[in-house]
Amino acid sequence: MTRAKKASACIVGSPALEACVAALVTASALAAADSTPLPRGVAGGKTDLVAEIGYSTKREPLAAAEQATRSMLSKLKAGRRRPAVVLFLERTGRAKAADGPRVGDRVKQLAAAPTYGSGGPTGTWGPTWWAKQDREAGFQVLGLAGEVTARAHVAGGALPAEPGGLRDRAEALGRQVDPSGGGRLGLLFCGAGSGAGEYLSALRRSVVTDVPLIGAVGEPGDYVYADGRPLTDPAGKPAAAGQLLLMLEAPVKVAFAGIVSRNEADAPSVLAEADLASGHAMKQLAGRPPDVVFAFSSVGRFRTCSLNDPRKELARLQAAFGRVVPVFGGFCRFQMGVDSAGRFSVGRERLMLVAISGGKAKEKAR
Amino acid sequence: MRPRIWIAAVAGCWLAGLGCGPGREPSPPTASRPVAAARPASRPAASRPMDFFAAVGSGRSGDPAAAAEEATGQALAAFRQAGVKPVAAVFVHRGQTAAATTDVGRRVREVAGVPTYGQGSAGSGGLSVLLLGGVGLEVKAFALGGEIPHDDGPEAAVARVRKLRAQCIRRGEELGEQVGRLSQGGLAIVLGAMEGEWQALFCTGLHKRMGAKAPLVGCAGGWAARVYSDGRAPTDGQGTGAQSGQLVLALGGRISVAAEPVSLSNPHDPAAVAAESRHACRTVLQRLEPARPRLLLAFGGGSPDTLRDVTGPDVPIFAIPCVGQAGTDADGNLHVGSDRIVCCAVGEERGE
Repeated sequence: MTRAKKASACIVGSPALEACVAALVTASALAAADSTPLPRGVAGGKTDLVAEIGYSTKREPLAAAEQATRSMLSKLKAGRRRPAVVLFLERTGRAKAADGPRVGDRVKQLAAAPTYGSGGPTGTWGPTWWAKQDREAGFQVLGLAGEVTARAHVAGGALPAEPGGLRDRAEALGRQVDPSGGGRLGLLFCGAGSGAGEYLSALRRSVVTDVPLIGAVGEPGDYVYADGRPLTDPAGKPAAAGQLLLMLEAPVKVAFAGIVSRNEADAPSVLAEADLASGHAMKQLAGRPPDVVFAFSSVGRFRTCSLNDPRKELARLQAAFGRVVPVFGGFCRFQMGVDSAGRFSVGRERLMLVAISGGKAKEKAR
Repeated sequence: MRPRIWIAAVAGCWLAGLGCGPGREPSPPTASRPVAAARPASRPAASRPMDFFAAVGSGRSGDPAAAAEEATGQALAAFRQAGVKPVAAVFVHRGQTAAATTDVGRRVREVAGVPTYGQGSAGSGGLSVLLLGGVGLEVKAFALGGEIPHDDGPEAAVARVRKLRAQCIRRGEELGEQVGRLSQGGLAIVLGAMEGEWQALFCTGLHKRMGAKAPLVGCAGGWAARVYSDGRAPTDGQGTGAQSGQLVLALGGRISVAAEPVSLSNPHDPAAVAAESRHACRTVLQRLEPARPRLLLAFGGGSPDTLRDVTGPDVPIFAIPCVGQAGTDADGNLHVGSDRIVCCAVGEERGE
C-alpha cells in the first residue's frame, strides 16, 4: 500500500498513467507471496464509461440473443451511446457448443461492436431464472460504451485431463497477454472438467501474474466466442469449446471483493455473505458509484437461493451497488478472483465480484 | 523389598530412560510420538491417571490388513509405553471398496482389542489408525446406512431437487437426534459417504439437532466412501445392511476441545495451503490453553508434516484427506464445504 501511495504521488493529474501504475503495483503484489495482501482497488481517474445490460429468458438461443441485445441497445440509445465492447453470457439450456458461433455472430451483427462471450454457466443473474420453470434459460448481454477497449486471448478445445497438460494450456493462453498493458482487468471464461482449479491456479501462478483477474469456469462442453474469430483445438480442428481471457482496458477504478461460503446450504448466511462482499467493494470505491459489476457465484449458492427466492442474492447485490447498476455474470462450477482480504482466491463455493467505476456523473438517477 | 532388588529396579529404570533397556524399542518413524512417552520425567502422568491420551500409527503396506496391523501396532506401542489402556480405535484409509474397509476394520479391532470405527474414502494418503484412551473417556458411535439423498446431476428437475434437499437435511437431523445434545467439552466427529452441497445439507441438519455447544468436526469421503462401525453394518432406509453410510463418533469425558475451520484461498498452491493450515492449527492450540494438546485432528489441508512445526513433535496428528470438510468455529457456527482445513485440538479438561 505504501508503494501504491508513493507511485500515486508522482503521477497526479494523469488518470491513465495513474491506472497503469496502479496495475503494476497490483502486479508486484500478486507476484509476491500469497500472504501479501493485494491493493484493495486499482485506482483510476474520471473516465467516460457507460454500461447497460439486456436479458432474455427465451429458450431458443438465437431468439434469446436477439431479444437481450436489442434490450441492451435500446437502453444505450436512450443515452445516445453506442457500444464499444459487447459481452454476453448464456445459460445454454438446450444450446450446445456448436450453437456458440451462431449466437455470438447474431449478437455481434446487431450490436455492430466487438463481441465476446461464453455459453454454459448454470445460471445468469437476471430478473427471472431457473426456479420459475424447470431449466429456464438465461441470456445476458452487456454493452460498454465510452473509454473502454477489449483484447481477447483464446484457446480452442476442452481442457486436458492430466495436470501437465493443464499447465501447458494455461501457459499458452497467458503468453498471449501483453505484459506492458495498463489499467486492465482480465475476465476469464472457460469450460473445464475436474482440473479447473489446477488450470486457474497455473494461469495465475506462472503466467498472468500482473493482471487482476476474475473468472468463471463451467462444464467441459461450454463454448466461448471471440468476436467471430474461429477457434481450433491444439490439433488444428475447429472447436467451439475453449478458454477466453478478455483484457478490458479502461482507466477506471476497480474494486475486488469475494468470500468463500461458510455453509452453502444455509440461505441466511449465503445472503449475508453477499452483503459482506458487496459492502467491501463499495468501501474500496470510496463513495464512487460503480458503473458495472462483474459477479460470479457458485452453483451451490445459486441452488440454495433459487429454491428459496430466486431473486434474493441479486437483490442484495443491487441494494449495495444501486438498483440500475448492471450486474454481469452468473453461477458456475469454479470461481476465481481477489477476495475481500486481498488474496488471490480460486475454487468452488465462492462469490467473487469486481465493481468498476468510471467516476463521471451518471446520466440517470440511481 | 530387599535392597538388592531396589538397586536393580532403579538401574533398570535408568537404563530404560536412556533407551537401552530391554523391551524399549524406539518408535517406528511412521508413528506419532506419544505425549506421555516424550516427557516421562516432566509430566505428572505417573502420579495420576490421564484423562485423555491418543496415539496415531500409519501403515505403508500395500495389503490393507497388513497395513492396519502395522499402524495399530505402532499406536498400541505408544499406549503401552504410557501405561494407558485404549478405549476405542478410529481408522481412515484410501480405498472405496467394502471388502477393503471391512478387512481394515476387522484387523484393527483384533489387534487393538477395542471398539473400532473408520472410513475408507477417496483422497491421497495410506492408512492411519488413531487410538483413544483415558480415564472416563466415552466414545459412542451412531451410524446410518446408505448414501444421503442427492440428485443425479445438474439436469435434475427443480421439484425433485427441492424434495431431495429436504430429505437430506432430515437425514442429518435423524442422526443428530440419535447423538443427542452433547455437553460442552464433548466432541462429535462425522464421517461418511457424502459430498458437495449434500454434505452441507446433511451436516446442517445434524448440527441443528446436536446443538451448538460441543464442536462438530468431520469430513466427507465422497459418494463411494464406506464406513465401518465396530463390525456392525449400518442399516439403510429399507432396513438392509449397507456399508456406505454416515457415522458420528461422540467423545465425552474430561476433555477440552477447540476447533477451527479455515477456507483455503487457493487449494492448488501448496505454499498457501501450508500457511493457512498452520494458521488454523495455531488458532486451535491457542484456544485450547491452558490445557495441553494431546491430539490434533486435521481434516483436509496439506500434509500433516506442515503442521508439525506448530504442534511440536509430541502431539499426535491424525490427518484425514477427504473431499469435503465440516467444522464449527469458536462461536458454534457450522462451516462446511470443500477446499478447507478443519483443525481440532483435544486435551485434558484440566490444565497442567
